[in-house]
Amino acid sequence: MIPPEPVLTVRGQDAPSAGPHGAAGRPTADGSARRPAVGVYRWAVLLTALPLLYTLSSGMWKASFPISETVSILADAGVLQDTSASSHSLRDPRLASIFNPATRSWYRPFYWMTWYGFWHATHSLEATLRLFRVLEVLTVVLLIGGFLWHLDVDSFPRYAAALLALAVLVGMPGFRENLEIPLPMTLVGMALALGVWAVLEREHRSWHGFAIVAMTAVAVGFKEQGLVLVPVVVGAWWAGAPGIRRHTALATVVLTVAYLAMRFGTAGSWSPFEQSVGLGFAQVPASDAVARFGAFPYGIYLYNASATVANVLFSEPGDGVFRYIRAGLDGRLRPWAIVEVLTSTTSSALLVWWAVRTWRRDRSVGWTRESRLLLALVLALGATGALGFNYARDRLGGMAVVFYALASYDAVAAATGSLREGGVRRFACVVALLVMLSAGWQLRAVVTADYPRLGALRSHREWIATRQHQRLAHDSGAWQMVFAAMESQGLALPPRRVIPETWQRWLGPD
Amino acid sequence: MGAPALPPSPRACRAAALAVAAPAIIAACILGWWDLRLARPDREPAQSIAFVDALRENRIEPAFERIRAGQDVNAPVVVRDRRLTGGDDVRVRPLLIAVAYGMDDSVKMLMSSGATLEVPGNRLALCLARQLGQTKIAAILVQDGGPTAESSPCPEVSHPGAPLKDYLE
Repeated sequence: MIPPEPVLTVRGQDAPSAGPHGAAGRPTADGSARRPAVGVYRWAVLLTALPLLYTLSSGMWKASFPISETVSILADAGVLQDTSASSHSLRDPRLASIFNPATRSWYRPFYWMTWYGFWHATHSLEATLRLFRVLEVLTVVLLIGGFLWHLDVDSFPRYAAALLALAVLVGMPGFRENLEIPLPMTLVGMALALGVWAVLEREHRSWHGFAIVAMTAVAVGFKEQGLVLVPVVVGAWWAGAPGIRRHTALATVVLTVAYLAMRFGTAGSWSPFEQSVGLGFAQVPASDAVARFGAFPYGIYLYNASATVANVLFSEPGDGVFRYIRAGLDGRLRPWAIVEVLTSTTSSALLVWWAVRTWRRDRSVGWTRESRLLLALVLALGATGALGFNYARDRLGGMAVVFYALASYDAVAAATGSLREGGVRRFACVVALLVMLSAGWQLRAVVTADYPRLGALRSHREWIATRQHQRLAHDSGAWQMVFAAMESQGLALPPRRVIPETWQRWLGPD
Repeated sequence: MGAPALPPSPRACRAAALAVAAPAIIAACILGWWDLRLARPDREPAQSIAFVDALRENRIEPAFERIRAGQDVNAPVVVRDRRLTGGDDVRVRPLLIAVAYGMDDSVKMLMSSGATLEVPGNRLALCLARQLGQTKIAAILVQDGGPTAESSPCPEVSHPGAPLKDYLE
């Protein structure tokens, strides 16, 4: 298939899109001539986002590493088997194990490699944990900062749209659930997805091809969900994105085919269900799922994929379970559930309006930046669903969340831009809708900002309550040594929650 | 149908954008204010809740802070409860209090913090858990307490309305 040529590219942007990134001097979606004020509004939006970023980062920085999760990760990364950190060579069998796809069903070599690298670089568990914290916080800062920087905010209406889009990015379950320490794999993938998209949409440079392939490979190496980037990259090339050439798309496809061949070739006899499966109103344990659906798992795979996509679009079901509907039927629906479902559903409806508008406008002129973003969103949602076939979890939607938030920015900008198209009544309705949407998403963003602190309290509680049990459950000397080394950070006072106690029962998921 | 509606003015559109941005600006201010509030060293002192109250409410964080501050995890403390002590003051070990109130996290925290079933009063913790039907806690005691948990004979039930009185030393 031959990709259609871009209609007109100015500084890597297509002219007819008249989107938020329209070329200098051209009319923008809100009808006003573009003013050379990108710097002012860009910094204004970053400044407004600063408290959110600080609260999130400081919570993540101060939270302790949980007991069992961290120690088992250290085992997977070969740290536990090499507590002296002495043998460091490329022939280290522990290193080979990290990259061996047959060792475990989850294949995240770059994630384990990060632990391995920190451990061998510092020879200190304390320093390793600190470096890992730096990685986690840096990922969040890069994702949020990069997101806002990429938007090229150049006017006050776009400033408003950018703040709403940021709240969408941060308030989605696909972002919130990936803040869990020490599991930032999808967050890394999300930051890389943003990086790839930024490169794809900029005027082509010689290094673009390497950057796109490398970022995609790193995202896949951190977690399988990174594969979401493959259809996005190929789709962007097909739709004439200015930053990519045919050989880059081809290289991405070849590497992906090789990766999939390696994974399927070493799959062995994996169980059809790795974890419990949410179905309807309850979770089905993995063993029960094997017994019930093992002979023909494709129906439940389709359900899981649909549930993953629906979670991105509607915040329901969560983990494959229709928890809010269940709560409503039981008469225990909390206001928070209404906020989540209403804001997500309204945002998705707004995106549909924007999609139809973009498609109608651009079908006669060919692909534009906005229609490519629409395509990327559809592809990312589809790929996210497909990769969530085995079990649905809120965190699995993370990769699609980036494109959902980017599209939300364009949709809100288009909505504010269309205010002058109708009469006063339409104006009032659209403004009321956008203000309610903005308020709802900001509430969700505030809850997310508090989320790492909530996790820190849970982790601290686990530390102080289960140490005896953990000590007795593991007789390995290395395990005991690592456990003892981590104990002081686990028992240290956790950061206080940002949301005052009186508000806590109203805000946030159960 | 009335006259065609006039489009809103550019000024109205800017006001609309401000209205959309307002929740974000308010949220930023609130978060900034809350962050400043957290920066003040006014953390609730662990001493503001009594050790016994923390144990029987499963508030293990302040209870643990008290232990870190010097509270002896095996030393008897005074408790009074209409259902468990008949409304009288009774001195028992903290572990027995956590068991009596069915607070499994408190039990686990005490066991993790040095409460041992070697201590005379604590030896009967499993008996108390079984007497009160605390099966989950009984399992924790067996698991975390080792062989000592099962080794002591249980006392006669002589205070059915005040079970903790049967476990006085």
